Amino acid sequence: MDYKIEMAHDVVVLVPTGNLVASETESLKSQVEKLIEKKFRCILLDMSRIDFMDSSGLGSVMAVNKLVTGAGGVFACAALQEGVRKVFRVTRADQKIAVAATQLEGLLQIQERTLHVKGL
Amino acid sequence: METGKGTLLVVDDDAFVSEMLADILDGDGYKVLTAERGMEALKKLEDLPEISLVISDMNMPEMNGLELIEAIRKSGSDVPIIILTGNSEISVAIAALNKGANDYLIKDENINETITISVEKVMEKQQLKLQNIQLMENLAQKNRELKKERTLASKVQANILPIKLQLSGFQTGIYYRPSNQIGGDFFDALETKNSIHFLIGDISGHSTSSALVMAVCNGMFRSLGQTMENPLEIVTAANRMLCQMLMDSGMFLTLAYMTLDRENNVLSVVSAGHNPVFLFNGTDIETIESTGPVLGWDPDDDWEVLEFPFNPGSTLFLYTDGLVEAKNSSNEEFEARLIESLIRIEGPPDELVTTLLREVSDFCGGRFDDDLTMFAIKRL
Repeated sequence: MDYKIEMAHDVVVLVPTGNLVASETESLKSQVEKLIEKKFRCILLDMSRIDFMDSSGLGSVMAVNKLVTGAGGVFACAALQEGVRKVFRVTRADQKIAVAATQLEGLLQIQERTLHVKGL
Repeated sequence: METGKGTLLVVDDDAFVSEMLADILDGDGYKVLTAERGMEALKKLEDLPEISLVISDMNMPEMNGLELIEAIRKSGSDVPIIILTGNSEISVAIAALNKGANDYLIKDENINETITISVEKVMEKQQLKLQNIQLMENLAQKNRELKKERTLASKVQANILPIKLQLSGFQTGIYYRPSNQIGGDFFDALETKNSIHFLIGDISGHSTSSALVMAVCNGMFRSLGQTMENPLEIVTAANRMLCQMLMDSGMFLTLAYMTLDRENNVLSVVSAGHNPVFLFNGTDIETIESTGPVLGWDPDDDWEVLEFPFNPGSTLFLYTDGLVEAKNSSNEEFEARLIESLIRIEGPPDELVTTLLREVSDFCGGRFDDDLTMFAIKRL
């Protein structure tokens, strides 16, 4: 799976391309671990280029959510395709992870939550 | 005198050249043997397996260098060979390389220096080659062991699951196939004093860890089902144990857990992020959607309990996502066809499962990427 990484102010936007399946879960975790090591704390996973996600893929998204929030950061997913959105809905992952309709909405959500975390 | 660097065999009919090379290489830490003829060299190679490199002249009586290379390789030996040529014999040197020599050297005034460099280079390459062969052998051995382990695990897993169920007052149809010998799907039925419990679960992924968690879950639900009657209490207790076990791995369990109160004909359902469950009551099909999150993420999670009549003649159809996510060549999923198939197919549960299996196999060309489980239960 290919990753594009963009910066929007202090939010890292991670844009993976391909199928988020068992063979790709370690690469997603590794990308997020590297970002945390570099002290990035606000991460938006733009899923607009994920065509298919299996249960291992969802597990890896849950794991990186815990990684980021466990490090005191803020994490969200954005721009889910229909199939991926359905997996989030059925498993109720959308109640565990912040999900935004678009990348822009995701960025705004993270910025608002960051202010909340800082008590501003 | 050092001999730790290896034993070399110099083959040359010119004793002056042999002795000169032996002196150089001996001084460099090698043990050097010599032979004047090809046949003598072959005999020494056969008798002395410690010879780790041959340096041979090209022009020799009885058996020339090319013939010697051929004979060595024909014997099955892959001992490295360096050949020595005159200035005008480059084409012969190339022919020797094609026959299986590893390097060639020109016999000139620089031979004192070039011979040690060449020997070291060829020995190093040979060492790497041997190490690679060893690594490949180790890898093949590990793969064989892994395959054996997976086959054993597959058999153990198959024995854990109730492939045939004998439930009085019910007919059942079952199909279970892990995508990769072992898998994370499981299902069960349990008769207690006042009720019957049905469950189907799917651990995320289909790795060895999924199979391990599946085995634990199977035992855990059997134990919980024996001591509790309420599906919500059972699912809540299982979730707390799974959260402790899976920690922050992200792994999870989707589960549909049902209890049937036989006296009141009421089916109580808790679905933890599982695919819809279908309940046929006469001519109606009830689609029972997920009633809460998957298990293993949050110990404080909660679920809704839904109740449905489950009278004699009703059929319950449970499955895992391997059924609905099977894709055809146009990348369409079987899910869109499932309800139509369920309405159309007639017959007892085992026929329902067999026909559905045939239809989904035709749909996806027999290519299943996920574990596949179907479990149909008809109340008589």
